[in-house]
Amino acid sequence: MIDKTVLEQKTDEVMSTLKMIAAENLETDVSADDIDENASLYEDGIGLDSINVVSFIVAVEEKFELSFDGDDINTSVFSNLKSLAEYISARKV
Amino acid sequence: MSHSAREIINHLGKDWVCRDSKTAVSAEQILNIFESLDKVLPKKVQCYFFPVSNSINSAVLFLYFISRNINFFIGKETEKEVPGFCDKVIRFSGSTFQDEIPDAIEVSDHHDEVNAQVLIPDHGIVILKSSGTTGSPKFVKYQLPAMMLNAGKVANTFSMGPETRILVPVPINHMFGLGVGFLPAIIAGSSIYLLGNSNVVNINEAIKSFKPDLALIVPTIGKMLIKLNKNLPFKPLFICAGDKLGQDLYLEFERNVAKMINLYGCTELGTIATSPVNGTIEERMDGSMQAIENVEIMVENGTKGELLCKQDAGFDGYIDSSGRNVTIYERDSWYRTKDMGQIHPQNKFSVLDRVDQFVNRSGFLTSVKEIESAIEGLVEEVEQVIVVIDEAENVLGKSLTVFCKVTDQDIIDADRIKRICLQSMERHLVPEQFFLLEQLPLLGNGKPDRLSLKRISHDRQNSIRTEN
Repeated sequence: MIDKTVLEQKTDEVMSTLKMIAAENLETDVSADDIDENASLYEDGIGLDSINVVSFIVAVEEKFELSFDGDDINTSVFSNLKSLAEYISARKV
Repeated sequence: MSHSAREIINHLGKDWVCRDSKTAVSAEQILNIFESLDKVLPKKVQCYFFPVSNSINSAVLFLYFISRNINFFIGKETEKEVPGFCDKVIRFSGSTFQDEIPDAIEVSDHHDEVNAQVLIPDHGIVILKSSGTTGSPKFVKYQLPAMMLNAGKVANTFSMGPETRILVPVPINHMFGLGVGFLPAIIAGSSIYLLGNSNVVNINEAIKSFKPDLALIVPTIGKMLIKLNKNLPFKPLFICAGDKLGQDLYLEFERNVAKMINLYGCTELGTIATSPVNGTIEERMDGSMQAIENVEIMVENGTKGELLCKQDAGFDGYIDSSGRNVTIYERDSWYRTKDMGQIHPQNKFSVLDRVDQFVNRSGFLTSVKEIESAIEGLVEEVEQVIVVIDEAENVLGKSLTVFCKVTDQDIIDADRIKRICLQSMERHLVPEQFFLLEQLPLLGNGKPDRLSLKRISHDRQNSIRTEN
C-alpha cells in the first residue's frame, strides 16, 4: 500500500516540473507559477493548442523518463496538470 | 442506396448513432426532434444563416434542413458578418436538443440593406464559403441533390455501409468534413463521431471508444500522430485531404500509425479523386490519384498543366452576398481547378501545387514549393520558409521574395541564408529578396497567408527603395 503522504509529496514535485514544461510549450509568455493546475490543459484553459499538446506530451515523457501507453493518452489523464501529476506520481512511486 | 434527402433519415438503422464528445443521438430521436422543430421554427424562410460546428445540435439541424428542403448558409461559429441573402439567423443557446428543443435554439430576423430575393424560387439550396486560399472567400451555391450525389460517390468509393463507423475530427462546416464524412455516412447509414477541437488526446480517446473504420484527417493531424509515435488502440483507414505529406512522412505514417488514403477535392466540386483505395503502399505513397465515378480530369496541352475537371455533381455557381449569381457552372463544361497537375498512364494523375505557385524563371517552370523545400533542407536554422511571387520582373522572370522563420535570429540573418542558397542552389531557384519573420501569417484554415506576405514584401521593398 502506498503511503498517502509520500504520494502527495511526490505529486507536488511532479507538479512543479509539469508547470515548467507547460510554460515552455505555451506560445504565450507565461511563468510556471502563474499556471493554474486545475485549469484545462487546452485552449479553454492554460492554452495548449493541438500542435503544442504533442510537444508537451513528448517533453513530459523525456523529463520523467516514462512512456505513456496509447491507453494512457486520454482526456481523464490529460485533463489538467493536477490529473496528470497524480497519474505520473502514482507510476513513479 | 437512396440519395433522396427526404428518405435519408428513414433508412438509418436502429443501431445507427451520431455522437460527439458529450452525447449521442439515434435515428428515432432525430425524427422526434424533427417533429418538435416543425412546431418551433418559422415557416417561409428564404435562407437561414446557420453556424455549424462538430456537435450533435448542428448535425441534427443540418439533417432537418436537408430533409425539409430548407435553404441554408453554412457559417462558422466565429462568423461575424451575416450575408444579405440570409433572412433568418439561427443559433444554439447552450442546451442540447435532447433536453429542451425550444430552448436550445434562438431564431432572429436579419434585414440587410440589400433586398435579397434571389433565392426565393429555389428550395434545397446549401451555401458554403470557400476558404479564400487564392483570394477573397466566395459564396458557393449547391443544389442539395448534387451535394448528395457527390456524397453518395464517396460512400461507394470507401464501401461505406450501415456497419461502417466514421470519425470526423475535421470541421463539418468545410466541404471535407461535410462531403467526405458527414453526408456520405448519412447516405450509407454509417455511424458518425463528430469531434471538435481535435488534438491527439481526444482523437486517441475517440478511436479507442468508437473503434472507427474510417477517420478523416488533415496533414497537420497526421504529423501530430507521427510525432506522438504510439500504437493506436484501433487502426482505422485514414483519409487525408490538403497538402499531401512528403513521401518520407507518408511512409512513416503507414508504418507507425495506419493506412492512409489521400483525397483530392474542392469546395466547388466536392470530392474529385483519391489515391487507389485498394492499391499498394507504393501507389498510395507516390501521390497519384484516380478520379471517382463520373469525374473526368484533363490538362489542356501535353501531360502537365492546370488540371481541368468535369463533374456531374458539382456546385451551381458563385453568388454574391445579396444572392445574385456571379458565375454559373455548367455541368458539361470543364472546371478550372487552379491546380497544376500531371497526367499519368492508366487514368491516374498527380496534383503538384496551385497554379499561382508556379513561376517561369529563366525558361524553367518552377514551383515555389520546390524552392521552399530546397531552402528548408539547406539551412539548418530555418524552421519554415514561404516564397511569394512578386509583380516586379527581372532577367530571370518574376522576382521572388522569401520569408523565413528561424530558430534564433541571433545566430543567422537573411543575408547569410541568401549566401548559402547562392552557393548551393541553381541560380534561377534563388529568390531575390530574403526576410526573416518571427511568425508567418496564417489563414483561418492554417495555411500560410501568401497574400499578406505579398503585401509585406511590397511594403518592405518600397521602404528599402526609399532609404536608398
